[in-house]
Amino acid sequence: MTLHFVNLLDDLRRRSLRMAALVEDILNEACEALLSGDPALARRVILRDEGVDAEEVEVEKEVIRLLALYQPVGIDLRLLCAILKVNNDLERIADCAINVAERAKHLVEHPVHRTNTELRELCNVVQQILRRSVQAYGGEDLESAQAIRSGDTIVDDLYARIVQNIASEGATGPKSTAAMLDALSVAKNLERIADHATNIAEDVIFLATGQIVRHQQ
Amino acid sequence: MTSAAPSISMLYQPRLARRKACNVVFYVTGAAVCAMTVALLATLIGVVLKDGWTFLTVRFVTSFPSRIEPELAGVKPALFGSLCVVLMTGVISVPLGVGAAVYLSEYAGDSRLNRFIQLNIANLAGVPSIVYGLLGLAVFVRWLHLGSSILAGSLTMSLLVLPVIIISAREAIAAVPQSLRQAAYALGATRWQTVRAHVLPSALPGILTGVILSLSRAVGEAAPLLIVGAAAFMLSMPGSQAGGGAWNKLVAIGTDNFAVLPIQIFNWCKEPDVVFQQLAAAGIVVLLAALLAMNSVAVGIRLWHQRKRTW
Amino acid sequence: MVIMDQPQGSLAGAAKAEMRPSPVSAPEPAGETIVRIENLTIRYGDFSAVKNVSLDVYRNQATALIGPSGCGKSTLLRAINRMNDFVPNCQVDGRIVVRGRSIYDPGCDPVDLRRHIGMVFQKPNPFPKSIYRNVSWGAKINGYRGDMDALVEQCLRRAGLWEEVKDKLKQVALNLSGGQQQRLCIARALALQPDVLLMDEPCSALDPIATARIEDLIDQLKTDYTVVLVTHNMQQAARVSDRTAFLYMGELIEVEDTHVLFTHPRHPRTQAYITGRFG
Repeated sequence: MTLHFVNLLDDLRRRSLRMAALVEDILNEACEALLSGDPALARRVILRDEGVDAEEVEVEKEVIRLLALYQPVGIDLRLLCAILKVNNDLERIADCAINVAERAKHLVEHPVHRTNTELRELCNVVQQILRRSVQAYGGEDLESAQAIRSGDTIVDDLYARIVQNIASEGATGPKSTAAMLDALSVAKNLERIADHATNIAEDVIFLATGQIVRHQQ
Repeated sequence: MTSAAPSISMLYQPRLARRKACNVVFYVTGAAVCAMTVALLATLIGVVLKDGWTFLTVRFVTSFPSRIEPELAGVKPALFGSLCVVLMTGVISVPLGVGAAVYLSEYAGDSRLNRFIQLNIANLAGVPSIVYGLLGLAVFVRWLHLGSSILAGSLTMSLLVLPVIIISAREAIAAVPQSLRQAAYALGATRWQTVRAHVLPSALPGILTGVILSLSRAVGEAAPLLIVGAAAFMLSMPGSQAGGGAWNKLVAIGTDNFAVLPIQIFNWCKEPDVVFQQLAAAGIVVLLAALLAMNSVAVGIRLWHQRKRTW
Repeated sequence: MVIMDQPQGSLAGAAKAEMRPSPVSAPEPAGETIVRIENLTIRYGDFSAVKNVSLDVYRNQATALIGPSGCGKSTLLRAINRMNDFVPNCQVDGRIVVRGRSIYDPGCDPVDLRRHIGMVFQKPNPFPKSIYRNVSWGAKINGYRGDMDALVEQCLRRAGLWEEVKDKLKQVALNLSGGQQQRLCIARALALQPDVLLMDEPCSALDPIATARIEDLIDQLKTDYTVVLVTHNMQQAARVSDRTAFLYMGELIEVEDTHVLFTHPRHPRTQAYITGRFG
């Protein structure tokens, strides 16, 4: 019976990792669509959201089923809890990425922002954080998870600078309020994604140590 | 693989008919053996009853034996002697036997000495009864100057039944579940409190069975008492000459010569006259009745005890 | 959920340092030690059943001993009320201190000790006597001078059995169901008002509903007594105990607050055992 459970757990973990890869891909494409101004790509990205939503529900169902039937303890319990929480974060990340893609459709008409270095950098950094989080999750790598946690400030700085730029642009003369709002929304969503990715890293820390480190400095 | 299923079933040859036939054969044999036993007993009782029928009256158990007038002979002193011997044997051997069994199983550890003692007890149970008679004659009759008395006879009989009582009581005590003792010990009971309150009551039915079986054997034994010197004929009751209080009377009974049923029967059997054969048969019926009475007392005590446990 | 006194910055340090649970869900800070086991080794001839175990049992807590068969948990439990005295060749080294008294000192009388440490066994073992006598006997032999009827009622109530048996106190205890018998055995132990109640797999012979009742009972008993419980059932240890000790091959591998042990055991062997990946 234990072997059976271990196999089920392994399947579930791999499924969660596949979903993480999918979400990562969606974010990458959303950023690509944003930065290259490709509305067709943006539309394709948006369509991929449904798949993520369905997969999220399936993974959650499976976690609940395993909790109910096998009453796991120790590492098994922590793994299931981590999967459940990571699952939730991944779905949120996917939603945010879709939001970015939605904005990207509009931003095509305002090429100014394509040259916005801060936004470009933010995209890069956030993609990187997510990639490293997912890698830490896949390898149950405590050290890199801890490194990710402490690296969150870069995103906050970039976000603050973008908000500042938009504010000063608005003051120097209105170009397009809609475009500025879109840009703000993109930045906000990217910042959110970084937060969720950091949450994933924190779940990895919980998985490895049993410690709940969220809300701690 | 499709051929596997039939070929595997081919490996089994149930031979059901044969096995069932074996079963029936054993059933019939067993039933026949049982029937034979019952038939044997019935024949025995039938023959004895037929032979002794004419003497089976109240007078038979209230009269003294007589060579001159066999028609008026009875088993009064022999019956009384047998009862006295059984009673006294029980009084002596039961406390000793149960006490020894309790000591061996509850107090003495599993030491080499203990095992040696147990082995010897088992051996003693197998010693022929006549050997005990010789021992009784040497120790009780001669050395302790008890003479050929009921006391000497009872002590000899006690030696005879003690090993059996010890062994059966030990078995009964060993059958009391360990969990019961642990429950008592865990409540802060001493060994004696545990034994007294739980082990002995639970073992009582088994102990009683052993006691009754061995005392029944004592009732039927003739050889040791013959050697100890039980009288062939008693023309008066034991201790009848003694006067004074009850204690004097009791001492007199204990130290007087005595007769017992088996020896009485044995003596009658030796006589050539057919009347004595009939007397012997009647004596046997009385002996069997006495045994039956003893057994029913044991069953009664056991039933009573079981009912008491459910109050 | 916040642990305030974490060293700042060093996350690796944070992970390793405090294994203490959050203050909200933790049981009361470990109280008075009622049983202290110090370097206890128990041998049966050449075989060491318990090897150098040190363990504290705290007042008003349930402490569970878990581990695979033959790991020495029952032997350890029975050492606490010296029931191992009845096992031939059983040799005990080290100390067990119960309320300041070293119980293997020559001056300590095991009969008196057992009055203060109640025990409930794996299989319900009521005496083949009436329900009333089952509860009263222990008190009686220990010279209880109070109102016996009141004591019997109180103990049966405490064991959650009173309502079921109050009309048949004179009936033989063997007519009760297994779960009732086990609760009767608990009531019987309570009649001596023990400091500690030892339970040796008390539910292994019971069905799930009877088991649940005993578990509830253990939970209630903790307010007045201290429970040490041996169990094969890890879920049971998880449900009823405050602290759990894991033994393996006679050694104490890990002792920890139960919820910590079951979410994040420190020792790989504990991990393997509780998740069922043994051997």
